[in-house]
Amino acid sequence: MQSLHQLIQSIAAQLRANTLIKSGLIGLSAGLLLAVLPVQVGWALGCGMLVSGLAAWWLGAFDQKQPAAIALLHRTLGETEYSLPLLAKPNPNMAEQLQLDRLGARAAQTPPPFVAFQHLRGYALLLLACGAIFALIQFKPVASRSTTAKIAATEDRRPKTRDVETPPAFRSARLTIAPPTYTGLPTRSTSELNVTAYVGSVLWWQVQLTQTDRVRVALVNNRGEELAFTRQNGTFSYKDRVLNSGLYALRAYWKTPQHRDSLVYQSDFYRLEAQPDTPPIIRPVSKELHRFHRLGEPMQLRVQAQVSDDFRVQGAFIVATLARGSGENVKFRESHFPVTPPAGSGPFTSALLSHTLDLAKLGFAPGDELYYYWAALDNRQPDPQLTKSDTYFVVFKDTTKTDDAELATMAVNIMPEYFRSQRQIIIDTDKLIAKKKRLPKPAFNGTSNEIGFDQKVLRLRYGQYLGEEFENQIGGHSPLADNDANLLAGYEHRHDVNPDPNGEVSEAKEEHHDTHQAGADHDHGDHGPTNGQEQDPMAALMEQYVHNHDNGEVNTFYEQSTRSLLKMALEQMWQSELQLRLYEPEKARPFEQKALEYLKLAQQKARAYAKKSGYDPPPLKEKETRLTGELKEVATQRRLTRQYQNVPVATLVAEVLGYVSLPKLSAAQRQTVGQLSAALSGPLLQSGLANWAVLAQLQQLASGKSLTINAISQIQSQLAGLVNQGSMGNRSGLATDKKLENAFWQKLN
Amino acid sequence: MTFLPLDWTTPWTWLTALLLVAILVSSIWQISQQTNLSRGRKWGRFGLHGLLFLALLGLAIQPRWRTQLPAGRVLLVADDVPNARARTVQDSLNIRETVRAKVFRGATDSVTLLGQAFTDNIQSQLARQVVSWVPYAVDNQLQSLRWRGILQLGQRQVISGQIRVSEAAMLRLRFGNRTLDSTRLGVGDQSFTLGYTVFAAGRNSPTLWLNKTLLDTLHFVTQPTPRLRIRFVLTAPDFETRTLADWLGQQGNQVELTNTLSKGVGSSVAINGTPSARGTLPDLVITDPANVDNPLVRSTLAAGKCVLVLNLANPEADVPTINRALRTHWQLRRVPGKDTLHIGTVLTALPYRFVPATHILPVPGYPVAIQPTTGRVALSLLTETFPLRLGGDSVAYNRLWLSVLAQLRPMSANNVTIEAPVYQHLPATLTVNNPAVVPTQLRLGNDTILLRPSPLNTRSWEGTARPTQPGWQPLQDTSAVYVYRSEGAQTGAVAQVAQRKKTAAVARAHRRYDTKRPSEARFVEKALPDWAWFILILSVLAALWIEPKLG
Repeated sequence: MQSLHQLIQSIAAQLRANTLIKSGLIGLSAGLLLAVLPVQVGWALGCGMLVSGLAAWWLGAFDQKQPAAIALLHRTLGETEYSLPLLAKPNPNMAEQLQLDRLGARAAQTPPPFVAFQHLRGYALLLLACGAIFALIQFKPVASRSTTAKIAATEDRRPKTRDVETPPAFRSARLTIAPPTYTGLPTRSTSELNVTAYVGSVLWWQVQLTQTDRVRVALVNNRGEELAFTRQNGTFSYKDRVLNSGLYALRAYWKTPQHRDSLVYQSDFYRLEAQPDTPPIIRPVSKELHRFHRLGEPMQLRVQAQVSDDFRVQGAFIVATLARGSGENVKFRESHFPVTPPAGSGPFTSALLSHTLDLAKLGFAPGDELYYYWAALDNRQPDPQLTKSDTYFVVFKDTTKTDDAELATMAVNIMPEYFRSQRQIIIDTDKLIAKKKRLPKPAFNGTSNEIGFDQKVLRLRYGQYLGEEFENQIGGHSPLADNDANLLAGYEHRHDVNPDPNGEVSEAKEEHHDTHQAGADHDHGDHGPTNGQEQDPMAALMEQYVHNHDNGEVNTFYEQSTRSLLKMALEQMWQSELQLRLYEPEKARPFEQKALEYLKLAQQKARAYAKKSGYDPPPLKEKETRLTGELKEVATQRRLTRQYQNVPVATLVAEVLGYVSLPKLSAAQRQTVGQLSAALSGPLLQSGLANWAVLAQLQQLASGKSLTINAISQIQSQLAGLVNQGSMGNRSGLATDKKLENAFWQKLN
Repeated sequence: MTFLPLDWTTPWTWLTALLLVAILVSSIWQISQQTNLSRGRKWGRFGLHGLLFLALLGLAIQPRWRTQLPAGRVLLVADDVPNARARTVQDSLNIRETVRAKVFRGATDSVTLLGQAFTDNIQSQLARQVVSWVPYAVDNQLQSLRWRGILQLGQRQVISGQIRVSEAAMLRLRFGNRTLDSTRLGVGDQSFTLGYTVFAAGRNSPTLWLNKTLLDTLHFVTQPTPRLRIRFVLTAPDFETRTLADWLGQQGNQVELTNTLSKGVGSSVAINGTPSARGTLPDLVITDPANVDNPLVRSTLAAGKCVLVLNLANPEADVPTINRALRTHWQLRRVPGKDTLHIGTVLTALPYRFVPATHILPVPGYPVAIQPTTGRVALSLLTETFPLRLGGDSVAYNRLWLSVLAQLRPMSANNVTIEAPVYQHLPATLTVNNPAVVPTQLRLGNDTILLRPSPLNTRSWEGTARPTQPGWQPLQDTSAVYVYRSEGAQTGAVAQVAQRKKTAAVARAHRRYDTKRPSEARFVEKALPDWAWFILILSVLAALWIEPKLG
């Protein structure tokens, strides 16, 4: 009886303890979770206790535990037959008393059930989970921490051996730029890895990682070529000299404990811009390149120039060359004159230099020429840069000689020989006729006269071919020579006069005159050369022996017919000139035309036709013999295969443009981006620095990083310029029934 | 006024009732016990306590008011329509009652909608009414917009639509920061068409700008063009064809160039692939007039593939030969007084022009024309094009041959066309043209679209999709369709167009209801919102707290 009461009490206490433990666990979990947040310890403790209390109340720790204990006993004690409530009865009757006794005896025998720690697993798991979260956040790997101070702290707290399994992380990178010594610029050290440095500068990268064991650091260019860093007491460093511009990135590899290489760090691509040293700049004061020196002028020539350089000018000098002589006999003498700044010798950045050229000392004499230029060297090492100014000329005028050319220009105005062709005269005449109505009379007459003049010039020109070098010979006679008395005798029909010694001449003239009207078939040649020679038998005798040069008729070597044609042309020209001079170009037109025809006839007559001589093969029977040769030794089929490996840039660009805006790229897509970046790197690098951003962004994409919206828009607009945008229109529409479509097009015709 | 029916079976109701009574009784008793108060103050306090009681009672029983809906015709005005316009429409349609969309609760008979900005909620309330619609174009807002949702690389994307602009503006289509096409819009309602040749494969997202404002991003998908199998059928190689073959090979096409050197002796060059077997026909045959009789040319054409004839020497003799061999109807007219025609600075062409006819499709910008027969026959009057390439003008050379090739591409298989924009929950028609196998269904996102044969085109199958998820939805693994959001709070011109589309659909669907239906009175019930009760009770409590201090 008593034991039964004790048993119930003990179980009730155990149950209470159980709930309290549970609530304690809950409170502890809550406290741990809260401790993750940045709050004070007191808060976490207080909240944990509060939660414990609430949980205890909720789980029923403050309730009566007797009924629960009795229910438990009902289940565990065995054969209780749900009779334990009898204990609470004040006056049990006999049967009840018996039952209680029986239960008491049983309870005394059985050990009290142990329930203080039952059903605790779930709560323990909760605590564990919270503990894990707490630990995870509190003791997270160092890399994710932002401030370096914290990194250092955690580093110190933990021994290095613990870190063997965690990959090294990037800590810092520094770049030291040492410009070439001659520049005198200070060495600077920066953490900004985009560099602009003078060519020849020494760049020294120092990279620190959280761990140095089994780590390899490399400098990568945009084509993926690597340069290895060396390790020196905990930092990785690389030193090199700048020669060209380019893009670079830093990479770190780590050999994992499983002996596998893994890329643990890949930086963005940085710009490396090589700035060239500019050569010295020379600005001579005098702008006049040519000057004359005259006798009596001072023989001292003072020249000045502003010489400057971006660093230092090592030296400046004047190179003067004296040229003497003329024609093939010209001698040169070159002399150097170092020039120093007025402040003193030594390198300078910018100075106004002056120098006096002593012409007398140079031996400058009349007729000589002096050429001089400025030159300056800067202090670039190893080889300095040289700049030369323009060359200046000083010419000593030699007044004792005069130039032939000068004389020529003085008296005669030399003009190119100029005359118009017959065809041109015809064209001009036609133009004039066409403009007749519009032109005022004086202008019309003037033009007509001018064309007449042109006609005359042409006639004289052709006349020269017929030996008519002088106007008085025209027509084969010399009217001025033998017609002193009567100038017009040759043109008159003077039947009434007696024959005079020159009678035959006038006869001949008459005849000649007739031929003008008669036309082309008249032979001019038969009466010219024998004019008036018969009187002098001596002369006739001499004629056989002398070479008579002064007779144009004889000494122009044309066939008779050609000459007659030319003569007829000249006749027509005479006529046309006459009409033109009478201001009647319409009338002149047929003569001009005729003259042209004769001229052309004469030209064509003078052409020779030479028949080709040589072997004349028999005609081929093409249809029978073609493609029927012996083919025994000939390979019948020649097969060539060619493969274009390089995808056109336009295609790559088109593909990449489709990826750019994707949040994450697949490996194949990244490879395509890499290909494009490699294909573009050459042309884009050459085209200037403006396009570097695109390359850098492509590299970022290729390495699996995502771009900002601005960068995407920039890259899209840049790449859009590189695709085939040409094709106009496309085959549109849909496939339809073949038969129907065919019928449609056939019926449309 | 109606009340919420009270459930007296639960103890809560009893408890609440008791509490209320207790409050009432206790407060009356307390006030009546206080002797030092004046009569007026007492009544005032009674009043306040009574008010508190009533407020609490109201909170408990939630009274509702019944209001009768307006009968007859109602003009329902969207919120973005100005008052003046609403009044004008109201006068001209002779409608007595005007309701703004935000205060609309429902209507009895017929509703005339003005504007298009109506929420889905309002549209669903119009299920039993006769609806007519008066559109209203808001300034600088698109009224319609359409483009092609899926197309092939190198095809021309055409974006057309309608917009109302308040002042002259530039409408630009931009890709990144680069303007692809632009048009100047005058004042008022304007239709526009913008177009460009698509150059980016995969997902394209150009943007549409009105002056400096971004209207929306247009999404579509470009599919890569399959590479062509091209065969040159020529007697002897010449520089023109060799250059062209090289270029075609560099573009990634499979090219085969065969030359007969003598009877039984020939050479062949295969670019990007091994020589094809005898039976396979190329997609495109390039030949000259001397070889149009070649059986390969004829069989290729008969199979519906394309033939390009170039290197004409004497068009007057060549054209009849071509016409006879390929059953075409080319007609050329000589350009008088010229030996060659100059196209640009380098290109030259024969002095002939195509006699225009309905069945001849010119390639714009070049003396090349296409004639569709069983396949397609193209005739080029260009004499030499390789100087362009040798001269370094590869851009012009590319443009020329891409333009010609674009017309000679074979019909690709499994052409899916869909008109963009596609909206969430709105039907969109998909067409599959020239399928490799007869399709029955198509997968779009998580939906399966059943296809049925098109009644007009025996080679097309159609289906209607009603996508549920917004954003890019994969279409049959290889392609994708962009689905625009059409519900919830969304901005952008495309969403506004969707709104308009929906409103138009509602108007169209509800036109058919009988207008002579006898009107029945309809009511709506309305309860006071919870926050109103809260404020009421709080203010009464505040008054109760202040009242003793006033004295």
